Amino acid sequence: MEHVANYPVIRKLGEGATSEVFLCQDPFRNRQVAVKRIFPESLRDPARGRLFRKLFFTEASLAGELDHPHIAQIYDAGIGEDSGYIVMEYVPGGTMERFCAQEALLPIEQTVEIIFKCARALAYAHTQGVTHRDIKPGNLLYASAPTDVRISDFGLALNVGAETTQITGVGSPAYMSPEQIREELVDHRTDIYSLGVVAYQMLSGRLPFQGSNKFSMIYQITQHDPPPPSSHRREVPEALDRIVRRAMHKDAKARYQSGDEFADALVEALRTGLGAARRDTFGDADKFAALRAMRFFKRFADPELWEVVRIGQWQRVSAGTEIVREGEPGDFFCVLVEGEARVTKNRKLLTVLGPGECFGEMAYLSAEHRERGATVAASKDAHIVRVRTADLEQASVTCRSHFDRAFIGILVERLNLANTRLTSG
Amino acid sequence: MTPRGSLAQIGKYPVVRKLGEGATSEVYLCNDPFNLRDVAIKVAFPESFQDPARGSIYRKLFLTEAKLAGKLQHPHICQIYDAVAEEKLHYLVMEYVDGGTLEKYCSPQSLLAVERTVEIIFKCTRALEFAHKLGVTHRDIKPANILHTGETEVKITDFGTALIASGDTTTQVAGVGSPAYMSPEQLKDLPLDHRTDIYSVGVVMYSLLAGRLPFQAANNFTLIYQITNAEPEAPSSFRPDIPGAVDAIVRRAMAKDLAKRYANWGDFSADLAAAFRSEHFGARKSQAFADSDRFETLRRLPFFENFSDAELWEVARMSTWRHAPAGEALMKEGEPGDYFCILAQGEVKVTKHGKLLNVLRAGEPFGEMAYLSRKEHARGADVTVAADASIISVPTRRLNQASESCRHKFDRAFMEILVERLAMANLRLSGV
Repeated sequence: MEHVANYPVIRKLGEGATSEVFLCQDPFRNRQVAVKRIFPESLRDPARGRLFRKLFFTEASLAGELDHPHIAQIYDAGIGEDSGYIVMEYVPGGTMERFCAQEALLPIEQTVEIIFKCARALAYAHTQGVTHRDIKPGNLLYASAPTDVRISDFGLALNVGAETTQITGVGSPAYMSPEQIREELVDHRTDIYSLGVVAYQMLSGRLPFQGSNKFSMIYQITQHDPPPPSSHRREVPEALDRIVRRAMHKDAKARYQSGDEFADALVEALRTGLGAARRDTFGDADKFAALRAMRFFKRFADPELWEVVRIGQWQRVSAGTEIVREGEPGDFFCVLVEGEARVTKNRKLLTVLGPGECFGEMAYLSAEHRERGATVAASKDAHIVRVRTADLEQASVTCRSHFDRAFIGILVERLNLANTRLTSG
Repeated sequence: MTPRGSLAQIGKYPVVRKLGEGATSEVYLCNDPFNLRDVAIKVAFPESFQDPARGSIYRKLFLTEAKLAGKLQHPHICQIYDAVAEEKLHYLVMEYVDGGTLEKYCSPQSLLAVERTVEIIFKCTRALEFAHKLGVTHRDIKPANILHTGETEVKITDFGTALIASGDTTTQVAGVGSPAYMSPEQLKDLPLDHRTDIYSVGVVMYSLLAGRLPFQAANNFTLIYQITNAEPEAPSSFRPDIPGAVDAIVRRAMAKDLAKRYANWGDFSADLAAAFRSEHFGARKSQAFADSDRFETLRRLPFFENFSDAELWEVARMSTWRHAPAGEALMKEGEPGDYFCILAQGEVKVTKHGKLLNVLRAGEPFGEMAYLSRKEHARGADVTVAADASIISVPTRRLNQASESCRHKFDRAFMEILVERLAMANLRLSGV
């Protein structure tokens, strides 16, 4: 095939039950894209084809609104009499399928990081009213090592088609929730279940239910409780067994009710230690959760917060270390994650900072105040995030706006305080 | 092959109706089902691409131009969303503008008021300066390529048609009608730069003011001779209410000698803004601030220094402007505030319990806590006009609906002011 919907084809990437995917060139925007072509047969079906066509654009434009670092962006979609296509962000690097076999598993911590990112991304999509309905390792793209992931094929009416073919046709129901199998109305919690199955498999190298045929699998999904992942891989800690069991609960009401709740449980497990020795570096999930809890970042949406995770430099600072020095030029500001720092000017103590507070921000706020006005030193062992102003200038407008609004809040507070002191004096 | 004018679907876009037809293409109103908006789709006639010698060149130029136009994001330039070149179907997907082109205002019985013409031309000059800064010369400016909607809203369209028509055929293809809007250097086939567009805008302005073309001839040959050799009569000789300053602007934009023509867009638009403000105009124009006036005022205020043109136009549109005489109370302590102001001219004083806190001059904002504190906010002080003032009010609700980049610029500007005020306050505190 030379072209799919006007896009010159570079090569074929893969094929599923109802569609095939090509790597294409977008000549208008000069970038590579993945274009999914829907097989004409699935459109010709007289009963379903009509409904499908109707759903197609509604779903595609809704999913096209999703703009998140861990979701493969949908750029465009089109449908004709007997052809349909979806143009998506191209993510090289394959899918999570290759980490699902027992001999190819990722370290536990890395898996938890990946599932954490997926859970947060699902929460983001769910709040925008988009349910995926077909979460499985083949739809989780491995963008880069160690834990960068993109969920693809979001919210498409296609997934409705895929389900049906999976039950009656060629696919496997392994990742489907009980309510999906019973063909009941599903909501976002079906995605929580399916992500639970993915977690199970990536931790243990096995599917939770093994059937010699599809119908026995369907029976087990609706009737049986699976053995915990740790029964297949001993080092899986009990905390993760519990998390997976809850995510995969047969009763949707007993599952995590949101992706965020799922993610919170995962980060909690990471922090209490996964049996192994305490880590020295900060994982992405850990960083994200720390920022998410801070008042300063309260109004940042998830996509922007992930940007901060990416551009911030995380450091441990031991008590006594000077982080910024009075009179030195400054090209970064910091947010204190943990610990305590003292601000001094001419050796006189000005204030003591605690977790969630920032310092050195004048370097970013004003072109005229690049020189540090005071010295800041850790007074207890501390974690800090250092943000270089040059890196922030490269960030998205949305991300910068959130920083600006947060700083404006701080400035307004300080100004009010100063004015009160002035007028009361 | 599909016969002309009967397309029901163009690519993935269902056709709503046909909008018009030109020499090399036809335009349809379509629906974009993915982005949920109306779009105008220009479909090139297949003949122009099937020519064995030129077909592939046309196709390539078509795509190059489409790529170029995608970069021209400006409120007064018609957006191109997508371009498709298939074997038999070539089309551009563009922003749909409800309204016609400026063509209908070029005859004596349907002229626009002089101020409105000046406004429209002002917007064109700013938009073309923006394009020029990105290295783009239009080369085919004429009333038919300027879409018009509302009072004075315009969008320049058809970027690069001259290029698509390519090289030595430019004259024939682009000028199927007439070379009336072409610059002398264009007719002489000399190398072109942005000043050819300045000339053409001058001709458009002439036609809108006078209701006739500057040169009228029985045939193209005579017309070309006149464009390269003759001086046109001043627009005011056909319409006496045109001020001398406006005549002078047209004359300078249409100067045959490049040394006498406006060398850059900035000078052209500055003269237009000045003409609009001049006494002669002022007598007849209402108290209302025109768009160009607003734009020029904003452009000069330090507060808006880092705003792009596109963002400034947003501010001009979302704000309300008025004059306030000395003594008028603008804000009262304790009142709820859902807007903030920027002083464009004059002086206001800020007082609390009768005590003077601050005197503000042109360019300074006041009442901005209503926007900055996000919460329901009551005014913290009284603001009174000290010397006759022009006041720009920005409702916070409308600013919250503005583009992200526009809001971002406001935030940065306020931030500088807050830092300054905080530094001042700290200085006073440490001095006590």
